[in-house]
Amino acid sequence: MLFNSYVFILLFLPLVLIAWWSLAHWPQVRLCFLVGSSYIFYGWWHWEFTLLLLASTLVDYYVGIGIHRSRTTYAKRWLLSLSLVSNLGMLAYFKYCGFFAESMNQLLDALRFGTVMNVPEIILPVGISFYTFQTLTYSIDLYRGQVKPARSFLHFAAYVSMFPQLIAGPIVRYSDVENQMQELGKSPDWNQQCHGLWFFVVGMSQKILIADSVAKVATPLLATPEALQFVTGWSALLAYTMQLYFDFAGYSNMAIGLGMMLGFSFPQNFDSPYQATSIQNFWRRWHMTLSSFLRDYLYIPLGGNRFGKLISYRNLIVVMFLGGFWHGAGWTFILWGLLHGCLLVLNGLYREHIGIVFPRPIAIAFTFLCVMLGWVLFRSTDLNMAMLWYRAILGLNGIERDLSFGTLATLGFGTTVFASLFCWFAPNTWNYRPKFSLGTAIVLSLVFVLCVMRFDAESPFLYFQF
Amino acid sequence: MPPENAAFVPIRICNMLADRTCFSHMLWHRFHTPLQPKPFAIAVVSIALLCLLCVAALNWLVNPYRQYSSHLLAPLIRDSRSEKVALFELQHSTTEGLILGSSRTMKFEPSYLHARTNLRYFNFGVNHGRPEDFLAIVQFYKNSTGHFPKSVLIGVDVASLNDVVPNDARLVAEPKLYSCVRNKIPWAEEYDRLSQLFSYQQFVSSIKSLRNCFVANASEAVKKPMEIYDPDGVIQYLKRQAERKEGKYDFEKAIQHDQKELMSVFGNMTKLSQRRLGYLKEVVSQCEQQGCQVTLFLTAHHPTLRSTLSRKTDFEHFERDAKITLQRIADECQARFVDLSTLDTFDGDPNEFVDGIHPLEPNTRLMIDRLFPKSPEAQYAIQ
Repeated sequence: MLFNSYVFILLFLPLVLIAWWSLAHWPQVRLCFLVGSSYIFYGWWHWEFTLLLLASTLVDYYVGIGIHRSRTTYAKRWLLSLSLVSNLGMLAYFKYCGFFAESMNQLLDALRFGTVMNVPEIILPVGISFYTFQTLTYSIDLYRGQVKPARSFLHFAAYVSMFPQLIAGPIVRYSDVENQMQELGKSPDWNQQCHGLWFFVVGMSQKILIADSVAKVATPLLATPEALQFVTGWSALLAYTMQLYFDFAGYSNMAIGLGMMLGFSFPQNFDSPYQATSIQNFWRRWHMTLSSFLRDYLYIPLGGNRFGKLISYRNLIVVMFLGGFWHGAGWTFILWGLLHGCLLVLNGLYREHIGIVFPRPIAIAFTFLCVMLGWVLFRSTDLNMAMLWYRAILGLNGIERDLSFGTLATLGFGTTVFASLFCWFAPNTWNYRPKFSLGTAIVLSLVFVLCVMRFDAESPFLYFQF
Repeated sequence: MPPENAAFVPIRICNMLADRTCFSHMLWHRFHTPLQPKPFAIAVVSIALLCLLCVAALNWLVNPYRQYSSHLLAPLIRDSRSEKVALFELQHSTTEGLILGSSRTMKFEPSYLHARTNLRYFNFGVNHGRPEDFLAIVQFYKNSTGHFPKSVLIGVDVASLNDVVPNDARLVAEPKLYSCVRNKIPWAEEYDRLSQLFSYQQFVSSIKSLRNCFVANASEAVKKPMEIYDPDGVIQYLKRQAERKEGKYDFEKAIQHDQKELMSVFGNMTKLSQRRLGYLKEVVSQCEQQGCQVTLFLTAHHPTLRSTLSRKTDFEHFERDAKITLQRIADECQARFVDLSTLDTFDGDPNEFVDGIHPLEPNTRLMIDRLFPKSPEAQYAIQ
């Protein structure tokens, strides 16, 4: 089920909220209801995949209990390995199997052995990358002794399947919601409800009014990458850059808002990333829950920066490589991850050896340019498309000669520029404190209604594919 | 600490402007006075609900696409289903054969077919005609005449076998056709039709419809239709044919329009719809069991459009599957299937299209020649 669908807004959400707050005095029933409705939400697309979600939940719940009860490190390690193998195995099968088979065929073909493997056509269960990571964090945190095991299976199932963040994050750790899960008997905090509404409507408008508008610029241009030239190449790039940000930030804000409406606080996922002054700063602002996951569960265990510069740079590249590969099973994603790893290393080297601090606007512009160039790889369906696009923006495919105001309008220049100004200069949703007045209520309602009316052009969130 | 909103410049400017007049001052401060969280949340939900209800009520009353039961105003778009039903009712007693399909079959001339088959046909091609429409129309014919037609010609578009697109809401809105297939329409599609009451596109169309109704100039424009149907159901592209004559017609633009639409259709399509293939098989087998000869054919695309679709979508794959499936249905039901999907299958002329998908008379006549060759003996040798 999509957040931006009539069935969600007009049926599912009102029913869930009414039932959720009506059951305030029965915490166990409430949890049951939350798990049930989350499974309905998830199963709306392919009910079969709810079994996968259930299997992942069961394995990690019992592994978690085992880890907590084990007295020896050996036993704890063995159980943690079981959790890692089951979660990563599931991810490997559903997400990477086809890619490995295809790559193997290409390699063998290049070595003149011909294609030997059948490439399996496996449907990728939506949100699998997110919930496997969530369950992994639970097992690892238990192993490290950073959290206590969930109070009951229902508590854990509710944490894993909670519908606001199930499909595309934010990646919530058990420690983030552990205490909140203990206070299920409380009645609604209206202040939190208002902030929930605010986040939800802001997120929805980011997705529907901005991301979907700039998508109308980017998508047709990128349908024919061979036709891209200098201006069209840059227009498509800028439009896609905005689309991706507003799409994902919009989803995150909606998820956070929905969480608030249910009485939960989720961590922030975006902090105006296009206002970052360096690549390092960018990764502290973009998909923050993934960045902190990669830092805490990969970078630091690999040694972090404790073993000298060289090892820390190696770790950065490894982490970003895996981060890229997590986003998608394809060479373009791997290259995108490696590119960001290299940029982070260059960033570190620059700070260490040169260290000249540029004025803030120049630093923002330069970082933005680097990030944009990375999105070419991120969006391209294959390396050939990426090459065509890079050639276009470098002017190697020629420059449009008949540029007029009409052409620029057709390229959606105005929409893209508006979106750019918005993400550079508007305050972040987390930093802006709305005044809850009648005027705000009217504006918020009208924006909400306008968004709901645009559901007729149903468009899924970009991050659902990961 | 986050910045205070009082420091937000636009709000300060509004405050300053509002202070100028007493009324606006009062209004501004009324709107600006903070509410308690609970009344605020209730206000947001109530205003949103009220607005949505207003939008739904307007769309239902104006009913610009003729999807609902209200008929207060003239629909914004011409509805081929209801017009064809009305035309058919005028001559159902003399009609012996039906031409079914989408708008791509609307130029198949019953008079030309009569010369070939000696049967009087009616062109019942409807916009976005899909197998559920064919099933409804054949049933409607039977209900009107008391028997099945002697011959049915079904032009199938690959896009009409889409597994993603729901039934056309105009089928659901035409009571005489919808009653024939009511039990076959999934409830989810009925829900989709109702949810369209909130759609922006429909809201804009409702406003246009109202404007057409109340503004004299606009309604004059509406009175000049771009297309009309002859009594036998054949379409006449009044505007486009006039532009073609004057040499003003932008053929490239028309092809690009179809290209955009079909790229989206084939981009979303995942496989041939088993439900729709089931409907098609039901129509064919019902007809053949009642002694009605059915001829299935795949409709053609303009070569330019065809090559773009083949390059950018899985069109060829779907078309290949459609040919195999239609041949199988024809074999199982003792019907005929003729592939007319490319110009070389009927020696067609790429200039005789009105856009990327709609052939004009010279091409539809060539198609009929291919479907019903001149010598009656050869007619059955096509299979």
